[in-house]
Amino acid sequence: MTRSQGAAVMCVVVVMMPMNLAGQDSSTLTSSDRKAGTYLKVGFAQWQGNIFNKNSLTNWDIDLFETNLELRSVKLSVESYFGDTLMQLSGFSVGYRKDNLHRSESGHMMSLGLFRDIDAKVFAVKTSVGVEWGMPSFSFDQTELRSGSDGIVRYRHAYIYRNTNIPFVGTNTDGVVYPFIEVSVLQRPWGLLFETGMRVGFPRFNLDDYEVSPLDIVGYALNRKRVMVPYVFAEFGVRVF
Amino acid sequence: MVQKRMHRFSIGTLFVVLAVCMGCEGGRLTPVGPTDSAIVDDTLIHQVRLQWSPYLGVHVTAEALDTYRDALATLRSKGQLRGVRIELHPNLSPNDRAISAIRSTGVDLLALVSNQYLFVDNIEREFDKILADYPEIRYFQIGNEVTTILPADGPTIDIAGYMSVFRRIYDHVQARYKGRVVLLTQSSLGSGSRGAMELEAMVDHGLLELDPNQVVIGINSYDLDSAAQYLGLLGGALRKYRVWVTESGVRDSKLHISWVQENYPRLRNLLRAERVYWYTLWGGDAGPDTEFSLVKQPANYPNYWRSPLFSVLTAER
Repeated sequence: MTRSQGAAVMCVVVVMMPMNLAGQDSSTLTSSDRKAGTYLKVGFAQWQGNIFNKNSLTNWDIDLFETNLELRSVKLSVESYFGDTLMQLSGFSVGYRKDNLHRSESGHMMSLGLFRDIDAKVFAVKTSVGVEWGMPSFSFDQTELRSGSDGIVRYRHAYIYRNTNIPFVGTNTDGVVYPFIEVSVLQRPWGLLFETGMRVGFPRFNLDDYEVSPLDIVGYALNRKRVMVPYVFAEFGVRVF
Repeated sequence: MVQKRMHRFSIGTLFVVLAVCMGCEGGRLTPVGPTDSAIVDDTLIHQVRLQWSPYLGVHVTAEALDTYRDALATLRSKGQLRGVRIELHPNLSPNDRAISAIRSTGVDLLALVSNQYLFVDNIEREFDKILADYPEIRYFQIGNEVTTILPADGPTIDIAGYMSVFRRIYDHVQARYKGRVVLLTQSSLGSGSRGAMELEAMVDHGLLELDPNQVVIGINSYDLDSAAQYLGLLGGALRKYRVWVTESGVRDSKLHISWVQENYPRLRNLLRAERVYWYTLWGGDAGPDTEFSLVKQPANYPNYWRSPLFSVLTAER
């Protein structure tokens, strides 16, 4: 099974999971148990990975000391919970995330997601799917350059594939849009919301290898693949409606 | 009830721990060093030389001849100089003393063919003459900031006009000098979004019809804001083209070191720049002793002023 097939299977599993859980305890889905409401949420997120290592780029690397990409983010979002499930959905969210607080010119991502949550008595399990759109952090652009004693220059440029336009900024293809899935646990005591979980984005990356001879003959190996970019997050929310 | 409270406590604790961990300082990818010239230790030398790209712009002027010779030889002897970018004006003699001094160092030359050439009638003949005068030069950049650096009362050129001239030179080179010459496109203004917009216009006017083995994309970049504007183009339409940053740096000698440490790797990461040319060894647009300069007061040779960056690059280890 290829990684993209694996990602598709994972996506289906994530979406189906709350339905299965709900099926085990039908009382958790009654409309009387659901708390409708709209929350304003703030939170932190942490990305980590090794962008030049395909294996660890496509798999969550839990080794804190073997990474060359580490990114802290802050999130602001509005999340609305329906009073009743609507077409198997519990609500929707609209959010903004600022990746890499050290730089202002990049790392601005908007997101739109749909979610389903189920009450597991002491907390709720929530799964979401959606899209992220925006100008990604510079941290996703990396070049490894090597000049050999033979006069040949070799380099690998790994970077997030920009596939959409951001209006009023730069050139025509300077933004990204890609799907994500998210799994989290949350509690909504009183008018508050506490949530923690993991979101996995599926952007496409270009992994381009160049080799330039002393006579300026250029060799290429240009690859593009969709990869999983996970981050963990913790959020706090206040009910506004 | 107790069990429920315990679960809530656990989740609350997990939330707080995650929030505290994420709030801690971190995420910086590149070390930042001091800019004080007095602090030249081995670690700093290593860090700066690791990021430095051994390429440099040099203004062709006989005012600084001895200092040029000394500074270029010193950088070269320390392995910190492989190539120099010089500008060729129509009235510049190949026997000019400054040109001769630079050529004698044996560094790889990138010749910026001055914007004035863009307006001559027979550019092919002019290019033949340039190649005959400078037989050792392989890399020629056709113009620089062509829509912004122009004589006040002279002719102007837009990107369509520029690409027409560039195409004529390219076709001439392919017909007569293929394999002998590599052309660089003009580098647009190095700040704001103008550069990326002009490069996009160059794509619209036929840049992609030119062989990536024969053409290198030139970019001037004095801030990351401007560099960021190119990313969609370089990862898309221009994915097969090489990129050289032909001018970079900061107009403050105290910040030279930190600029190299922080921004050279970023320019490579963002633009996949094979080379980054420091704007200038001496001089600049606003007078001879500008704060871009790695050396100043060349008349005081051999006691000319050396910037902290120059000192780090040429320090004994």
